[in-house]
Amino acid sequence: MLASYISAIEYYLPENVVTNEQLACDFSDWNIEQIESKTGIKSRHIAADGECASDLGVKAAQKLFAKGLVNKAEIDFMLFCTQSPDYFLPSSSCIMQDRLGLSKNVGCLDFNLGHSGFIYGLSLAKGLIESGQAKCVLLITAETYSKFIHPQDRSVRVIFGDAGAATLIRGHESPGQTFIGPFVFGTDGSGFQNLIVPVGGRRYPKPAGMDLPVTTDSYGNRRSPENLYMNGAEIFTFTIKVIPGVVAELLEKVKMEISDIDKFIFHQANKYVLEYLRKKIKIPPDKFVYALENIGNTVSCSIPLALKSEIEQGKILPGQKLMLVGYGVGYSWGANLLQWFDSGQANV
Amino acid sequence: MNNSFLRNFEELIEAKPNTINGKDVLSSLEGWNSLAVVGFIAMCDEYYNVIIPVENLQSCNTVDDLWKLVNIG
Repeated sequence: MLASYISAIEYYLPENVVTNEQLACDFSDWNIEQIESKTGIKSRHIAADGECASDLGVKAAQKLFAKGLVNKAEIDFMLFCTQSPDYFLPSSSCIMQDRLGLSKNVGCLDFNLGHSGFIYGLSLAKGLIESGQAKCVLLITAETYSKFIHPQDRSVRVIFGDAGAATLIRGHESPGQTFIGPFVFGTDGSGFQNLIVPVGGRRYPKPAGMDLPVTTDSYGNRRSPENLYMNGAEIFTFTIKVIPGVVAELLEKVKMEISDIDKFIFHQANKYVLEYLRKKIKIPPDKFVYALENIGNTVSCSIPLALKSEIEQGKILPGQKLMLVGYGVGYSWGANLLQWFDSGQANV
Repeated sequence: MNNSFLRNFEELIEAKPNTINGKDVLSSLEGWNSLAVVGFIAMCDEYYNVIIPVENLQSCNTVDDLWKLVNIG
């Protein structure tokens, strides 16, 4: 029986970088030092006009191929997580199959999740491989929230960055071993309005031939109903209420303590909430990963990019136990244990 | 009004010590911004073990109103 494991991760960041100093030019009354100290973000990459999430995902996947980390013909399933697809239909992953030159025998599907997306993607990949339906899954997470953001909405412009990540999940004959899992999942749709693009879907289509009014909120941020809206206070409240319990639930499931986990990689929302969670859950600083300073909150890419950053720095060793925790838009959350596995193949 | 609450609140909004009192109107305080709102939620959780619902915060006008939320919670 195959045990799924993460074999490789590559990523792609758009070329355009927006620094806090550049943002300050748009917001003259902004205290850059305060923003930076609270968010932990100095710059973020922003996709160009006409550069879609699928483009970022394709480029990340092409890096996997270019480095010889996988032969295209080996991939028998591709999952694409995004909330900014090319079209309502067809699925962007179908288009990406063609662009990447994958086999026509590959299964492809899109799934629409944000900050919890990588966790759910790992779960789907694990299910496909360990049920014998696939051997080599390409999980692409890519996001371009920037395209929904009003240029005068500093509440979200400062936070979000665009990125694409390609994670290769393979199966290995390892009877009785688990490298990915177990998982904890959760959903609370009562919070759906607190991180949303209200207009443009089928619930509230954009009225034809009409620009929707741009309004200014009490903090001076401007947006229309076609723009991304985030109620930071509500999102923070949800996070501190729910996530400590999720970590406790997963630890209980695996019968471990915090001291048994080598690293904690949480979704990189912003430094303030990360530090607050770390202290609340009592995770030692040396076990807690921060990786958002130069890329911001990259939504479903934030965990694979943080994981890749640690790998590149030689900080993840075979056999180490990592806890990944994703939480946010939906509200949706998930957490899993990841045992780092070196199969001996060229990886990561 | 609890003095430590006032001191914690002053630190949160980066006001000078002993310059804030309960009757101060929130909208007139320079440091009472969206970041401070999040910080206040964190402060109440950390120091008073209560998570204040955001909608309750939105109906507060003065620092006294914030203190009442902490007590009720």
